[in-house]
Amino acid sequence: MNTLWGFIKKEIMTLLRDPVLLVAILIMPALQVVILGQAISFEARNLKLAVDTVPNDMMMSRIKDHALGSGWFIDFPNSRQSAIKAVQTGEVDAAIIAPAGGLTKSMLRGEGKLQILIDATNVLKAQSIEGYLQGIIAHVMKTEYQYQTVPPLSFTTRILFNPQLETQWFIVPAIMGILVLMSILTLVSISITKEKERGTIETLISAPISKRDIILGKTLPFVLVAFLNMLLIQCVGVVLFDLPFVGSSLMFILSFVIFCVPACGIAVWLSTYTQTQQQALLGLMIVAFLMMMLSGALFPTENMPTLLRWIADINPLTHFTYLLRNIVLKGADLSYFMEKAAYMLITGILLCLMAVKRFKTTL
Amino acid sequence: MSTMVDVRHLFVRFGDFTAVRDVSFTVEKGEIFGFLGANGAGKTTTIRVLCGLLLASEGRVFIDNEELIAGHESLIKSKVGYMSQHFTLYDDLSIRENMDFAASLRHMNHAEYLKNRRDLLDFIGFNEDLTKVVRDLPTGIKQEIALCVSLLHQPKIVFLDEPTAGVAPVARHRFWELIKKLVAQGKTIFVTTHYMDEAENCGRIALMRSGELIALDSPANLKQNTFHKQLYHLSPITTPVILPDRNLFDIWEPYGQNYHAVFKNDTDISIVRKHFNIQKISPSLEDVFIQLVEGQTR
Repeated sequence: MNTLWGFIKKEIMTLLRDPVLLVAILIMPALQVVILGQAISFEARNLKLAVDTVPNDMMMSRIKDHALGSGWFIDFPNSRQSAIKAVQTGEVDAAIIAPAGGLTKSMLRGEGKLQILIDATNVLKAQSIEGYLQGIIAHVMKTEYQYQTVPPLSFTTRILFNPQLETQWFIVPAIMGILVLMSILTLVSISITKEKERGTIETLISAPISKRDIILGKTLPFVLVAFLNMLLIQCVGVVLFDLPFVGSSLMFILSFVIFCVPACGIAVWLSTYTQTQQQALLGLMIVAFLMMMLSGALFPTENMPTLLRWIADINPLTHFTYLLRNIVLKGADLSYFMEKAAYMLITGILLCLMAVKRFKTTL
Repeated sequence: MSTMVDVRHLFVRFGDFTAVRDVSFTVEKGEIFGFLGANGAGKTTTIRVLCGLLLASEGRVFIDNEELIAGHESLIKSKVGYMSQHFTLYDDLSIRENMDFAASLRHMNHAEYLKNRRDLLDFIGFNEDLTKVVRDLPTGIKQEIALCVSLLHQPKIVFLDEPTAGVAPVARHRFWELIKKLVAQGKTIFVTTHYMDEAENCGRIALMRSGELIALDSPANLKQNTFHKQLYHLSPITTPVILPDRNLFDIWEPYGQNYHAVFKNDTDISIVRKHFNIQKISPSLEDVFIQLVEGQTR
C-alpha cells in the first residue's frame, strides 16, 4: 500500500474524529468570513453629530440636513453649552458650531466663520469626520449659491485629544486592552487545561479546598502578569510614541481590575469545555479573535450591522478599549468611567457565574 | 480492629454505562487492602469515589466513620492521602516547590509542614538536593516523592492507584518495603495493582470484574477456594508443541511457553505425559486472577 496515501488517509480520519478540531478548522473560518465580512469596514458611519446654532439659521439647517442625509451621521440634539461638552465627554463624535447669531447672518455680513470640533480619540473616525464635513459644507455652499458668488466662509477644525491624529495614540491603548485579554485568556485557560491533561488536576481536587480557592488560585497570578503587560505597553507607548497620559492612574488601574472579571470568567468558562491544551488554544483563538474584531479596538463598530453592533455592545473588550482610550487621551470623567465600568462588571459577573456553575471539583 | 472504610451498595454510572455495580466491602484500620481487576474493571473509579474525586450515583461510603456526602467532601479529603497512577507531581517544579504547594493545598501550619517533610524524606531515605526539578528525577524517586506528598498531612488512610506502574523491579520492591513500614506505623493502605507478586503483600484482596466485586478474601483463602483440584504445570517436550484435547481439562491456561492446567480426571495425566513434563504446583495469585477475572470473561 502506498505510504503517502496511508498518511493522508490516517490524518483525515484523525481529523474527522476530533469534533473540536473539525469545528475550529472547517466551520469557524467560514463563520468568521460571514461575520467579519460584514463587520470589518474602515468607513465610519452612524457618527454622532451635534449642530450648534440659533433657530432659523437656514445655512446651518442645510448643512445639518445634508450631514444627516448622507447616512454617515446621526443627530444629537443639543444646546450651545452642551455641544462642546458633549464632544469632551464622548457623547458625540463631532460638533459644528455656528458663530453668534447664526451662520446665515454672519455670511451675509461677509464674515462667515464656522467651527468644527472633532473627538480624535479614535483616529480612524476623526479622519473620516473631517473629510466628510469638509465635503458636505463645500457641497452645500455650491448648491445654495449656484448662480451667485459664494460669500466667504472660513472654518476652523479643532481636533481634540489627538491634534496630530497620531495613529499610534489610537492603537496603543487598544493593543493594551487586547494584550490584557489575550494574556488572561491564554494563561488561565491553558493553565487549567494543562492540569487536566497531565492529571495534576487530581492533586487539586483531592485536597480539601473549595471551587473558589481553585478558580482564584488559577486566575489571580495571571491577572498580575496581565497587569505588568499593560504597564509595559503603556511605557513603550510613552517612550516610543510620546503617548500622553491625561487621566487618573487610579481609574486606569480600576478599569483594568474590573475588566479582569469578564476576562477571567471567559477563560475559566472556556477551560470547562476543553480537555487538552490544543483544544484550549483553538478555542481561545476563536473567542479572542471575535472579541477583538467586534470591539472597536481595530475597526469602528458604528457601521456594523445591528446584530453585530449588539454583540460589540455586550463585548467587555469594547468598553475596556473605549475606557482606556478615554483615560489615556482625554482624562475620562467619573460618569463615563462609571458607565463603562458598569457594563464590564455586569457582563463579568454573568460570565463568572456561568464559569463557576460549569467548573467541577470532581472528575 | 475497627473499620476505616465502609462501602455499601456503591453504584457509579456514566450515562448508560455502569462502571461500578452494587459494590460493598469494608477495610479495617491498619490493613493493606488490595483492589485488583483487569483494565476497565472499575478499580480507579471506585478509588476516586472513596477519595471524594468522583460522585457516587448510588450507595453510601464511610471513611473513618464519617459519611462521604456530595458537596461536603472536605472532611473526608482531609483524612485521606491519594497517589494517582501518574504520581501527579508537577514536572516543571522542584521537589521542594511540589511539597510546598501540596502543603498549601492542605492549609498546613508551616512548622508542622517542615517537620513532616523532614520526617518523610528521612522515611524514604532521600537526602539529595530538594531544588532538583521533578522532570529530571528517575521514575522510582518520583514515585517515592509522590508518596511523601500524599502523606504530608499525615492521613489515616492512603489510597494508592497503581503506584508502581512503569517502575523498575528494584524500585517496586523498595516501594513495598515503605508501604509495610507505613502499616507498621498504623496507617491503612488501599492499593490497586496489576502486579500479582505485589498483591501477595496485601492482607485481603478484592477482585473486580466488569464493575462488580467477584471475590474478597486473603490471598491464601483465595487460592484455596478457587482451586478445589490439583493444579499442574505442563512444559512441552516436543517441537512443534502437540496440544492435547481441551476436553481433558477443567482449566487450561497458557503460562509463558508452558501451561497451567487442572485435569477433569487425574487418570488422564498419562495421555498427556507423552508430550509434556508434568509437575504438581500450588496455585499462585496470578492463577487465581486469571481464573476468576480473565478466565470468566473469555
